[in-house]
Amino acid sequence: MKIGKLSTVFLLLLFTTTGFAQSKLVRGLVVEGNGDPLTGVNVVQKNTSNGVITDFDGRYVIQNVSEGDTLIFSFIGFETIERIVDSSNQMDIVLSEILSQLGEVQVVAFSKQKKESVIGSITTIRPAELKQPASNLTGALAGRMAGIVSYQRSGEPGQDNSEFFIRGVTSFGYANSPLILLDGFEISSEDLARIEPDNIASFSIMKDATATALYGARGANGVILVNTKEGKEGKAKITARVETSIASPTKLNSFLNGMDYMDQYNKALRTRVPEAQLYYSKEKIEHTRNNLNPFIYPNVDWYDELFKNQTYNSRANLNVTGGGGIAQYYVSASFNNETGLLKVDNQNNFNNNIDIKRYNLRANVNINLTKTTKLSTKLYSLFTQYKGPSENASDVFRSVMNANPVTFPKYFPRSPNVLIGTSSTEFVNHTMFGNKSRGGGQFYPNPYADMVKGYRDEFSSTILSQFQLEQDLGGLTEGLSARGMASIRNYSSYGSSRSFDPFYYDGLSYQPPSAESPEERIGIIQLNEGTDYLNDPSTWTNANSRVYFELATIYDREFGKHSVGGLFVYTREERLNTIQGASNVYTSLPARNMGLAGRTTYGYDKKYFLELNFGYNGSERFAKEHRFGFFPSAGIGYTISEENFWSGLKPTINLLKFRATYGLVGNDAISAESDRFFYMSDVNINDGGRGYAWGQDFSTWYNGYSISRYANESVTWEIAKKLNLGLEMVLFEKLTLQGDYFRENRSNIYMPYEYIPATSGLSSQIKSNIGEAMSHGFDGSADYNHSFFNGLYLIGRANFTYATNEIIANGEPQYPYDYMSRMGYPINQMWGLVADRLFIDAADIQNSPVQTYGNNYLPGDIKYVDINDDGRIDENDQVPIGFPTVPEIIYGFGLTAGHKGFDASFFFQGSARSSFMIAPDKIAPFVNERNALDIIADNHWSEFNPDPYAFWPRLSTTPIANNEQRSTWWLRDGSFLRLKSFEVGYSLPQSVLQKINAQNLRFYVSGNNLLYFSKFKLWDPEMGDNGLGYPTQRIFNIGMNVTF
Amino acid sequence: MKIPGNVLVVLLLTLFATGCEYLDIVPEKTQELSLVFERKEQAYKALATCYSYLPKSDDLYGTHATLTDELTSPIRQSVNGLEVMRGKQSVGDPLLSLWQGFNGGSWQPSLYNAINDCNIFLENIVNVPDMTEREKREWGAEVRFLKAYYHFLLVMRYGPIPIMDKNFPISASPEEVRVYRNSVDECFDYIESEIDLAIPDLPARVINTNFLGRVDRTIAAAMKSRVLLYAASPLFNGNAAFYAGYTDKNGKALFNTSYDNEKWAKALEAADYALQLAQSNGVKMYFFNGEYRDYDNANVIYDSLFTEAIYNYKFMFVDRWNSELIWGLSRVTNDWYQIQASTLIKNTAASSNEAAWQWLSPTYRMAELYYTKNGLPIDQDLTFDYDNKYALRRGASADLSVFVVQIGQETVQLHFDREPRFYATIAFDRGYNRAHGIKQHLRMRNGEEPGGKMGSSNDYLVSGYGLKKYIHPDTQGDAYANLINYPWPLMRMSELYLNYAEAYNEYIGPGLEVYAALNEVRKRAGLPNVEDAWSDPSLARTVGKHLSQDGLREIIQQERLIELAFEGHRYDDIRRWKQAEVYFATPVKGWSVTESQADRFYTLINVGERSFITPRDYFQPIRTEELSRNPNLIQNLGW
Repeated sequence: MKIGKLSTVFLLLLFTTTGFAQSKLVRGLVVEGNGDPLTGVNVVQKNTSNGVITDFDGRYVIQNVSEGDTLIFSFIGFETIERIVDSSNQMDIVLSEILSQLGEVQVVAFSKQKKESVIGSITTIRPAELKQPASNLTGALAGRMAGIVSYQRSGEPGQDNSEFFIRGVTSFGYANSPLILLDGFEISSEDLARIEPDNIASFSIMKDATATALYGARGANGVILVNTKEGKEGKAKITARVETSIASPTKLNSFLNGMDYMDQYNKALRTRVPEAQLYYSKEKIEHTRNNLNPFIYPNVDWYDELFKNQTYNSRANLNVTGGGGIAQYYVSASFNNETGLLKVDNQNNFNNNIDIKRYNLRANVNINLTKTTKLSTKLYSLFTQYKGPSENASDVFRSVMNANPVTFPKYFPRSPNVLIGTSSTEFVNHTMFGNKSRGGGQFYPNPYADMVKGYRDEFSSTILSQFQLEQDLGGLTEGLSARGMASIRNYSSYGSSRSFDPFYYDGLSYQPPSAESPEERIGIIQLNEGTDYLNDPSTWTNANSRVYFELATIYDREFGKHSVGGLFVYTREERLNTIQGASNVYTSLPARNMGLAGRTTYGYDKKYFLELNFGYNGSERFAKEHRFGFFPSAGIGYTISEENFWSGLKPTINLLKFRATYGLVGNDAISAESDRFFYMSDVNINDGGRGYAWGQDFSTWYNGYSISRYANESVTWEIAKKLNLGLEMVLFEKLTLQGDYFRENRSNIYMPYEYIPATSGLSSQIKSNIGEAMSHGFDGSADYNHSFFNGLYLIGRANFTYATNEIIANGEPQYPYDYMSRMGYPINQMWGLVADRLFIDAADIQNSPVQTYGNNYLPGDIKYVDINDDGRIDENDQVPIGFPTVPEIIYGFGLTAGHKGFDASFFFQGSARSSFMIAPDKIAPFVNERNALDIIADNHWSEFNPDPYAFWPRLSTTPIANNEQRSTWWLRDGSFLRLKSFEVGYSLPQSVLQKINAQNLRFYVSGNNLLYFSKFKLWDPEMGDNGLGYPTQRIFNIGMNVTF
Repeated sequence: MKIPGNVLVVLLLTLFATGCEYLDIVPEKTQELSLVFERKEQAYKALATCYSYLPKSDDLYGTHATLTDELTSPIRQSVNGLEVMRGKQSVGDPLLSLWQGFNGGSWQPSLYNAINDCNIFLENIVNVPDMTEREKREWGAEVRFLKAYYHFLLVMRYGPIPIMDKNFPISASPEEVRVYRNSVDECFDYIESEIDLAIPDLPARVINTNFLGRVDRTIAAAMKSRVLLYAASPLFNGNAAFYAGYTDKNGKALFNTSYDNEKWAKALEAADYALQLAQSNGVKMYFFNGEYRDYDNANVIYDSLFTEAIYNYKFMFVDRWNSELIWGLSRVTNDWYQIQASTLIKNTAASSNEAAWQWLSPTYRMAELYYTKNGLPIDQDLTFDYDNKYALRRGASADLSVFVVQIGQETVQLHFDREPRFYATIAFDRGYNRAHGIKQHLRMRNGEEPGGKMGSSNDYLVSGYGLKKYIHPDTQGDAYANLINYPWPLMRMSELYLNYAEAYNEYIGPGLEVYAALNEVRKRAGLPNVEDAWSDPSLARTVGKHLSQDGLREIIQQERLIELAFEGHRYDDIRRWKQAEVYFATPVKGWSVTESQADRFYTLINVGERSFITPRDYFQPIRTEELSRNPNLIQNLGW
């Protein structure tokens, strides 16, 4: 991995001449923790000058050693290992990386810097840790890196991107998402999700002002830098990885069966209206129980009928790297296939399950044009084929909640015994889906019909090309270089959806077999006119492009103890979007930004460091005089462990470094693309919605106008003032600790003046840079590497992020009570009523304050606390409840151990201090004949079980507004701890590998989301309020990794 | 490669300096509001915008006509107006809010939004270069009227409101935009004065068939009559009982608390002026003059007057731009939400009933409201067997009932011997309905068609009655496109006569002028003159009721409730008369529609809860959020 050319030459000179005859030869392979061979490792016989270095493939052969001698394996940036030679001739070694070691190089904005001199807050993760048995990189971020707050709400293939924020949410403006750069070029979070971890050389996040200020008005939300692997000189090395996995939901919702459903429905009806007729007759319940006829007395388990328990996915990656002195290449191809949990149905010949195939190609080539000129190109393309149901798969999951087991069957069979009036349905040429008229030509959702009525396919491609020329200007003055870069990315997708309109039928009658007709007969009626063919498809195309251009000069030189660095860079970028049907001129205009940025670094004696940065840039969205902003930052670092007086402590505390930075960064993504040009009003002078007709036949029609934004010349970007205080420490050369305290003031948040009353008659809100928020927190990590003499090695990692925030200023109205003010509370704080308990009886209601959400609440409905004591429960009684919806704490910890070819690792990830709300209106059973979750039947208030703290209030078949208010009753703790991953691997020994001519061959079994621990039991807590959507996936995976 | 170092930096700076235009990407001539006032053709858009806020009276979910005890619906069909009547109104997110707008403004934006656009129009219309001064004055007067009308609608829902005569600049401070309410008197005075300002500039009558529906002087005068009538009514005139001590945050009394009889004088004057203006512009009571439908030929031969009266009243509502219509809503709702579709009784012969919901049904109270064939209330007509009104009677060929009750079929006595407007409006079991181009023989008991509750379907008439008023007889209920649309009457001639009669009786007392006005309405309804009906001892139980002011007031009120039934007047009328406890606080009733046998079907049951808290519900709540935005606003009493 690391090629230290100089040291190689040096060591060769030093050791090749030595040697006096001894009895034995030892050979072996040196690899790093993830199995990658290490080139250039020193292998020295202890207390002698006998030594060799490993070759390009990590192999070594050392002669003239004997049993009992000690071999020392050392490599810069890695832990040194001593091993005693035993009787065998084979000694394979795994070296563990030591983070924060001197001499390492760190990726920083627009360039690289020696790690020792970096004073910004940057976290880097080993790309191997991002490997997981899933096809979405964003799912691997949570808990892996100090400073990232992340969660995943859905498990739907293709729609399962995690939300992620750097150091939490610091703005309540439009965008909180970090700037993501792939090889220096901005990409979207969707692009990030699709990057193959195998191709990543480095993955870093930039968190503080000095690390991000160069990105000026784009860096305030933090920056993620991803660089891809480049070619290495040497003969072609081929690495391949193949995986296949089984995915299944981490938790399934369970629903009432038909009999219980009807029973509870009747109860729900009578508990509100005692004299009501039973909705489901005793007869129907009895016939359902006896399973008299599954079509007239259906009892459908929709979940089971629609979804499989598991599905299979596979991934493969192949890459080749190599090259000579002139050119080096890294070429990779990968494929993955993800499928959904929908059952494939025999009623249609089309497959409507989700099936995504992705093809990913990359070619990175570096060419040394001259000794001082280097040309590099990076070509990347991603092609995605999507097939799936015409309805969104998450909606199919949700619709199961909206269909109950007894109203209608999936479909009626086409048979001579199924009659419409007196005619047989034997020759009906379409599926006769079950349904019932809802009134007004509306039907109930038949989830089965929704799922099978059509399918959608889509093809999308992303093509990214980068071209970079680097010129070493050492001839001019030593340490000076320049480079120019141009990048273009194009994304396009097109797709179409085809479906038929389902024919719905309702069951009317059932006639058991009798003397005159030996067959049973089912009577049905047709409810609507569907189509028995696929309708004309709906089609769409979307495309966008991004063009980026960068020129930079870099200066880096050491004068004795002084090291000086400089960077000056010019960038410009354009992004153009085409969304089919975009109706607004402003949406169609490109987004542009340009900037100058610079950095000066100074270091003295590897102890004292100073860094000054600036970004000066502008974007198209603001008025001329507010277009450009200047974002300076500064930082100092002090490595106390390099001081002479530290020498006594050095063996214990190998490194101790303090860092402090402060500066300004901006955020210009303060509103949607269509709402960009703040200095202009946004008027639609052809708005049909505001039109009117006159005339005899109402045919003199004129469209009207509508104003969706009032002009405001003074709008500009958000400003973040970031302070970071950091500490790095290495103990015993095994334990690396890193911690940062941060504090950020975010001002100029673009938001509406909330105090303008409706009487002003404005058709849109007036917005300006009036918001302000403060956030602070801590992030830290601990890494522990240890190898034992017997070949056992242990790697432990843990990280922790705590980020909290509060609103300092917003344009809020003047609330009648001080406690209603949002100021001082977190940005994602939920507000709601405080639920006391359920009402006990009528007297309890009588003696309690009036609740103003409909006048039909009864005993067993939720009783709220009258916060302001005015005898009424209304909006004025809402207070902050629970934690914010975005977790304040994210953490992760894991351990990897290996011994003689075997390795095992696990990783836990946790989230704490967050809350979410169960949406009672989405799961209220029986309303509109909606399905009922088991738990509601098991645990609700009733006259027989008047538990004032039951999970569900008094049942109802109609919505009870009183119970659907946002309140602590529905608030749940979003904390959880999950076994995010677990992996066991076995690498074949060298002796076997040689026979098949391979360098490395590893088999492994891994799992994702295997277990979780949470107080919340209904669904996977990470899904939050999306609990009835496509469930989070648990994955079991087997894979093979081979290198030739 | 030899490049001097400083050249590089200079190069970068030059690139940067020349690149600043790189960020100027907005092309010339993007859409701006000023463009609307650059040409007359564009200015129509501004005018249309001002009109577009007119509440969608013919839209099931947007209409205020459902804000009443006249109609009810199955509980599953949550029609906004009915939800309010059921007590589901809330301060957090008020239903049918004209102040705040509702459904996120998509169904109905805030009327203050409308007023803001009217103000923009009035400020800018003078700038349109290719319009004549006269046109600008006319258009300006139209918009000034609309602005007054929007204020009036707000007053009817909220009582004293802040008058927004001018727009605030965008840069206005929070203190400026936090307005106080004006008192009801100030509001009515303002509305009146704005209409008065508009009247001289408006054309007397819009006759250009391309622009029917635009405001003219006749409309403005008629609306002024309504405004002043309401202003003089007990709710707004000396209502100390409710609002003594109800003051604004700055101490100002928002309601007057002493009765002022002169307000009736102004109302009378306005009604008189409006009537004369309407008559001089050719507005007159509508009489059907087309061809009778074939299925009614037999009736015509038997009793043409009765059939004619039914036709007169029926077509008065659905015949486009007829002679009686003073102001019609010319933007009709075409789709699913069209209120006609929600009352249409399904056609058994149609292959699909996509535009016939049979959801809204008249309450039993409405079946009782209509007069007998002699033009008297059912409990006042000595020839009407009031005590046995629930007794079953069979339709026979021997009497008038042959047109209204199917021969040989049983229904209650109540449905016999009623006035033509009853038969033109209310569809009942074993009666007839003219729709889908046919005469439907109604069968409205459980499991029967057309009109009955079928199985577990949620499309049914909960009270056992259907509403004919909204239905054009030739409308086909099998597709939306086949609904025959008509401009919803915002103002028609009958109302002016009734306004006149009411104001006259209140200010002066009973008199020939009052009877004459009432008789205009009764004549078209096919009823005898009011003084004749009430003077005949063989007919009237309370002979001479029309001779006292109080007696005549009741007669006028009932006439108004019948004549204008289901047109969105009742909610306002009942409230301004302060009678809401009587009508809005008691459950609505209907027949037992889940029964199939006649005797069991004809058992009255409660078919809908109603809630009305006095005085709270006389006005709608202001959304809590608005009160936070404007701490100077005071919530309506009781909310």
